Amino acid sequence: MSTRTRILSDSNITFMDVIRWAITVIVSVIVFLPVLYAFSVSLRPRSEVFGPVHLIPYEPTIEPYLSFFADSSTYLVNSLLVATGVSMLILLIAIPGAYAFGRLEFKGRKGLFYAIVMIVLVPEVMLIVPVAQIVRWLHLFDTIAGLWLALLIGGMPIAIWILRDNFMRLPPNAEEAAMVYGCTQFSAFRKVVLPLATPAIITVAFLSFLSAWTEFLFTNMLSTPGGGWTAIVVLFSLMNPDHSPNWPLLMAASFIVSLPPIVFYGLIRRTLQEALNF
Amino acid sequence: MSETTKHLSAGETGNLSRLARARETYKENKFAYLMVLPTVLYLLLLVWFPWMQGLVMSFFNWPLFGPKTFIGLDNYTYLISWEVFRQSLVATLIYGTQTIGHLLLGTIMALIVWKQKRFVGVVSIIFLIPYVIPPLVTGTLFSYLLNPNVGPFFELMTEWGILAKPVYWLSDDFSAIAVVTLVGVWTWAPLVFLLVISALEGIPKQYYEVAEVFGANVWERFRYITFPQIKTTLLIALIIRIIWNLGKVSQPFVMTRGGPGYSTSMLGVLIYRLAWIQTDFGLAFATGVILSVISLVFISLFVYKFEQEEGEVSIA
Repeated sequence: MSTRTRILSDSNITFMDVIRWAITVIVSVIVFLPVLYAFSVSLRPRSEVFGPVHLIPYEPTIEPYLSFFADSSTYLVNSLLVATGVSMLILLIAIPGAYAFGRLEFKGRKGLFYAIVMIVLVPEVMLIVPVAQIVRWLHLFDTIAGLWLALLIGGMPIAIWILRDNFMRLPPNAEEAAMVYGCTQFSAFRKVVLPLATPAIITVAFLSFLSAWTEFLFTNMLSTPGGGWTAIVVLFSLMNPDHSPNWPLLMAASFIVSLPPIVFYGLIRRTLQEALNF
Repeated sequence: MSETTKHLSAGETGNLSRLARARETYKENKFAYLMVLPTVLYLLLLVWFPWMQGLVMSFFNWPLFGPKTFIGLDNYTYLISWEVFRQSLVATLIYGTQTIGHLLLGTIMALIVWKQKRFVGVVSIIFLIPYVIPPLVTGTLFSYLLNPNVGPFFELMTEWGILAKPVYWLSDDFSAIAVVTLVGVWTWAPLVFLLVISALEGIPKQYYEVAEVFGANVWERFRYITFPQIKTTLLIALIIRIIWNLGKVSQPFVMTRGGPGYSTSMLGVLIYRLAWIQTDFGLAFATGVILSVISLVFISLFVYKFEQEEGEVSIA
């Protein structure tokens, strides 16, 4: 044992390094293998689901993907419209709000801020029925705009929280300096503070997109197959416990639904880590 | 007579000056109020108003097509003595234990990646995969992988002789809740990983250089430098996870639909089933209020901790 340690440390690799790599490999396998295997199933004909476990499909086919696209392209477009819209709306509301909470003095600031943090305590399921009534009352049932309204709810608190945190960390006199050079309060916010907060804004855009893209309970209740259904609801409906599901199709659908968030995440990974450092 | 007039006018001037003061406050803070206005509208119209409506409706008997009748606390007393509700509380509790797994695994993953010198990018991307895939999707993936008839997991387990036969977890109370809880650990440990690694990268390197000079060993460095620096993050992660476990239930719902029976119907799932399958909105809302009160306890902790941290930041 001790000789081995010495040999390892000679080549500048310590015992700890070995343990660390071992854990890394084990965790990576636990995390990655299920996803990889499911991916392999998504490339099989339906008959190949049964039988011995194998990672490489015997008769690889992209038929499951094609068939999901053929049936559900409208719903994928809906998902995209809903998630992008929610993300934009959240930014529109949360940026000025978080700015006020983070950098302006006004009466009732603290109370209001906690009223927002408290939203996390409201179980979303409880809001579905009353919000559905509001949406119906606005004649927005089963429309993309109706979903925008409803899905705003879940993404907002964390958006305001992250943005506020970032605004607070900016240099304290940034606006005053800008106003000395002739900026108004608003243009100081727009030209000086906003650019400095870009990483946080991108992060919030991503998290809001993610929350709307993955939202299921609200969407399922506020839309029908003929209108605002999104891809995630289709996925849920394919998982019907009364029938034996078409697993390759389900797996293909899963990967198609996951792709936009994964790509988005891959593009902004560095920014995300920077902005989430509390 | 004259006294009353005096009194009145005094009251009036009092009101006037209060109004004037309010106007003054508004003028001074006009910009701030304008900025915060959309947020306030969102809060009132989309959150608190619907929630209040839910609270009121929890005192009514409200079947889907019937008339609403006020029944006071009957929904609540019914829930408390209802076997299903008790089962749901137990399920909520068991499902909540996954948070321990999130914190342990997430922290270990973060500490490893943080010390890694090579492949940091690749490894952290792999570690974050479960977080980026929607929970309902990962629920679907595991429904297949752990399917006792066609899935690879039990096939391999029996082939290698680890299990005698597949576990039909969808029809067994205990294994159903165990499976959804473990899948929950797999899904959300990466969120803790993300939060902790972000915190770790914010620790100044000099701390460790100083520690090395004083001959601190691995454990001491963790105990006296790393841990204090990520403590707040861990607490935030803990509370966020507890609250979300309570409210965000689409993953277990897609895997088991709350069954068998009610054994995987956490409170969140129970509300959904009561409202949309049994269409008993009054009872669903009463359950929602109870769930809100439970969450409130953890939210208060969160706010308290947050305030504390705020204090530290302003001192530093």
